[in-house]
Amino acid sequence: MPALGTFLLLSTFVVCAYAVAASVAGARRRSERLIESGIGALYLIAALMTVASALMIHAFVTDNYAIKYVQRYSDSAQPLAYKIASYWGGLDGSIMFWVFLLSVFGSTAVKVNREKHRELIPWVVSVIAATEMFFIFLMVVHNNPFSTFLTPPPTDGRGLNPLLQNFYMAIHPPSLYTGFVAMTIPFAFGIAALATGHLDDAWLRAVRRWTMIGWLFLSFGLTLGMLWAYEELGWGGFWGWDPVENAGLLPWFTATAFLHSVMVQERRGMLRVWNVTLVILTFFLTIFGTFMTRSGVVQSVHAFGEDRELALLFTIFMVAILTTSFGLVIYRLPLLRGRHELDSWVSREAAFLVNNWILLFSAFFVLFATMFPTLSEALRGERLTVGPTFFNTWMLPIGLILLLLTGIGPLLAWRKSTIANLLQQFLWPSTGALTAIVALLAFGVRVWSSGICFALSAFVFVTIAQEFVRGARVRQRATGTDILTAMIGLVARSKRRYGGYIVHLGIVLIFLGFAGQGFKQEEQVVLKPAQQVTVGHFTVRHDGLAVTSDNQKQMITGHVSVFKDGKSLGVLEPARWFFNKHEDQPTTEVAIRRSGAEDVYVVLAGYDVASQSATYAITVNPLVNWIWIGFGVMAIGTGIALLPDIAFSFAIARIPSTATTSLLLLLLVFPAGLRAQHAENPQEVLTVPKSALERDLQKEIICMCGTCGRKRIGECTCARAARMREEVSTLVADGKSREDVYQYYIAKYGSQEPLASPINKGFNRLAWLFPYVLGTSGAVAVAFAAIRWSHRQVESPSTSVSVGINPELQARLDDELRDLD
Amino acid sequence: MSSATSIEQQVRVKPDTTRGDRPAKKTSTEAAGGHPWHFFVLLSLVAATVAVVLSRQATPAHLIVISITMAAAGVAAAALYRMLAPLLVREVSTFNEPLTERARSTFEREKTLVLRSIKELEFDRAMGKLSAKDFDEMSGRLRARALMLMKQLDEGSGYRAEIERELRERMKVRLKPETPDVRLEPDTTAAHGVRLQADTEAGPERSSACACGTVNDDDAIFCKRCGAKLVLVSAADDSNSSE
Repeated sequence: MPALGTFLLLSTFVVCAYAVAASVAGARRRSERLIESGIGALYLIAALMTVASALMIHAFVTDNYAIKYVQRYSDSAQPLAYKIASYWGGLDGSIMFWVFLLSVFGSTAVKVNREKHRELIPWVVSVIAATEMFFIFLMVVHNNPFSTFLTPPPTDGRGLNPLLQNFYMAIHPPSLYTGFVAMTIPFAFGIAALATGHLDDAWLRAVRRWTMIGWLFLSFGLTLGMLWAYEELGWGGFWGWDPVENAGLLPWFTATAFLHSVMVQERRGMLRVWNVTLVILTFFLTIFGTFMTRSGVVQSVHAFGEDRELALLFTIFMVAILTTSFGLVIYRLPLLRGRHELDSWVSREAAFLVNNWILLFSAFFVLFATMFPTLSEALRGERLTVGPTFFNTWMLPIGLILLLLTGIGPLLAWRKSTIANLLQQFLWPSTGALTAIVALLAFGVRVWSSGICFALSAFVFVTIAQEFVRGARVRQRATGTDILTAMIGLVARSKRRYGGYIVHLGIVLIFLGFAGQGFKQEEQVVLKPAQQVTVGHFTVRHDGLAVTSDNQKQMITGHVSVFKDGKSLGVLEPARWFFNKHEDQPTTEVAIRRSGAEDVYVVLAGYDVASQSATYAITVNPLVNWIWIGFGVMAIGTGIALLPDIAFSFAIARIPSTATTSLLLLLLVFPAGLRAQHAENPQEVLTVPKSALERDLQKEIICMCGTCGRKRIGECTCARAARMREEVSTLVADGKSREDVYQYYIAKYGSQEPLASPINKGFNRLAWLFPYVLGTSGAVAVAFAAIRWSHRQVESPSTSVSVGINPELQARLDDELRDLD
Repeated sequence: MSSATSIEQQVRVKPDTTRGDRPAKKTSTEAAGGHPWHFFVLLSLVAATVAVVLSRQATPAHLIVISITMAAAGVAAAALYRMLAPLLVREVSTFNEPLTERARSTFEREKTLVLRSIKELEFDRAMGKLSAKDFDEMSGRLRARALMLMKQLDEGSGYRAEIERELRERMKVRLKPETPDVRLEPDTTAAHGVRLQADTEAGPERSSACACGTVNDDDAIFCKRCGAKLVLVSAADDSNSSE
């Protein structure tokens, strides 16, 4: 079986080489036979990789420990679902899974587009096959997942990392990988267009759809990653700016920028070079993300460990991508020059320019901050940590600006908006934002970032509602139907536009979830049975501990009762699981009581079975569930934008008039009705951080255990973090200042690595300066381009050439416009 | 398109909705209702059945994975056939879309783009995003562009005739022995010369002889026996005979 697997990989490599050669030769000689054969070879790659994947899964299902990879990532006690998920749980298998997904996606894309883009297809095939070839090469020479033991194989496996034995983690990599591989398709079409010189807007149509599909999967993957972090890592948050999370976010930024700027090219013929560049950058960042995860250049809870040889191979591949792609862009520059005319700075084009600037700034800032520790280590030999504090300093205002642009963009017209129009357009959204501000002040909300976020969310929400209502009214006047039919017709007519607005609505909901974090309440307490603590509106009572086990693990479970305003909300059971063979890596099984308004999130951080006392980290997370709901709305919006015309016309005929309302109702989450119960016998409890400084330091010092993904000691639940918390507590009790504590840890670990952010001195000042330099240079570039294009427009105003007033032609034009719905 | 229909296999011409017509091949087996993939499906089913029967481990998950593996192997066999089959048929010229068609589709696309822009502009105006003055100015500009494109498209029907006429004139000039172009680009000119002769005078049955005495096909550029260039000789002969 392993020999067959290796043979299949080698065969696939040969077929890839053939696909590249046949397609390039076919395109050069204009030979239909070779082109068709190349397409067939691409299908064969997909089929061979499917067989190889089936063999690998078969090996996992049948516990074939003769294969090293199977022995390393599974054991006989593992449930079937996790045995299958083990396929992509390790480095070798994840590369193979990557190739499998790319082959399936590539074949589908070629099958769908081969008639529409005949000139491009041979080049598309060759680019996809060349990418697959690289990854198969990695497997064949370096990471063969089918390699076997030279000695007699062990009788049982080592088992999958316990952290990965989670439902969301089982489906998170396939989704993220699908998003990554889907970005190869636009890149392949882009390179094909550059190679053939067919750089009209035709290739964009294929590219746009595949980018949307990739973007959707990337968003889904990122959301699942957040859910996994929220439920499995047990620190009460969902995004820790971990390097591997960032690797998924980088192409998401550039893909989002592309999905916006492509509209400018379609409508105005502008930004051709920029769009090709974004397609190349997005693909490059997917490969770069894979490189970061697999080569060990960054330290992360998700990373697969250091591998210098793999890093070298990836570097060569990335250099080849950049050289070839941008070489082709330079070669085709004369064909890529478009008509750049900016009628007004107050137009949708200008808003898209700003949007692209912000998104690209985000991508490069995150890239730089993620790589800064590696850079520092390479240049100065000192390993640093760039933690959430540093990222949030910049990404918080950036996020708010993006949210604002989400609201402003749709209100601006293409080409030009006047003051009177702006007043008319901005009236209701601004009123909505002001109302939100007044309401927030009235309710005593004083968290400025969350307050601004709520106000901007209201602004965007009213914008979207206004767009739908006004658009429906215009259509109603034109068609004479009722408002609901007009609205459905409106969405059907401009699926991308209104699908996009629904995506924006999803973004608003996600931002509401982010804004809720400003009101997050956290406590760490040690409780004996029947003791309780109050966090926000909730009271949590410790009832006792239970020790149980099954054939895979031992479980320590805390039983806590939760009350809200005296009413019992039920019992929660946070736990620590000690998987066999991974006893040193206990997993945190968080107990969450969900509702639309807030989550009660309880983590069993420590315990003493003998005394039945337990340390709990209790977090009240307001609005967090709106992040997941927001993604659902985004997925619906993207789905609408992707629907083919025929599908929508079919749907319109069957949509009941109450459908929209029902859908919105479905999205609402109501807390369950619960019976009242009063808490009795309240006893005194011990809150772990004893001062504000200690609490701050728990967020500014990171855990140095090396296995928790560099979480802050206030968030990490491992034994090392507990010791570090005690250490900090002692230092603060001894009267040490913040700076003294910093210096203590720098001296203890020999570098600034234990600090969540590098100190703004010397070389590290580069990290703090970079965002300013990046942002300013981006703004200057955008302003320069805008000024140049505005001047060009002024210089050549005579595009309205008189064609000779031919009444017959005019009448035909009117007819065609009338027919165009 | 005639070259496509003259290949040995039965050919059905299927109109392509996107760009011009494209030949779709269909074998006689297919016409009778059988497709190659039927064979591969059958093969996969037989292989999966045999594998399941012979399997020593019999948990449902194991049997399902075996069946999927066999099905995938069947798909791989079909894909191998799909890769090799095109190599066994005669070459069909591709990218045979005329230049004028390409130009036309570009104009059509641009026209659709401009019309959509006008519609969007009207929609934005109706939603109150544009002032009447700006709307008139921009709409006027876009309408002018649309009218220009429509005019070009209307005139476009004359492109083919115009290009063919120009081509004919150029080739006529090149056929004359005293034309310096013949010496500058001997290969291409001669090849054109042979083809023009075939089209205009002798018809498809005409053959040309080489100095070695071998009779070659009328469109041959090199002698199939000795490999000598035929084209110059043919062109010169043709022009001499016409004189």
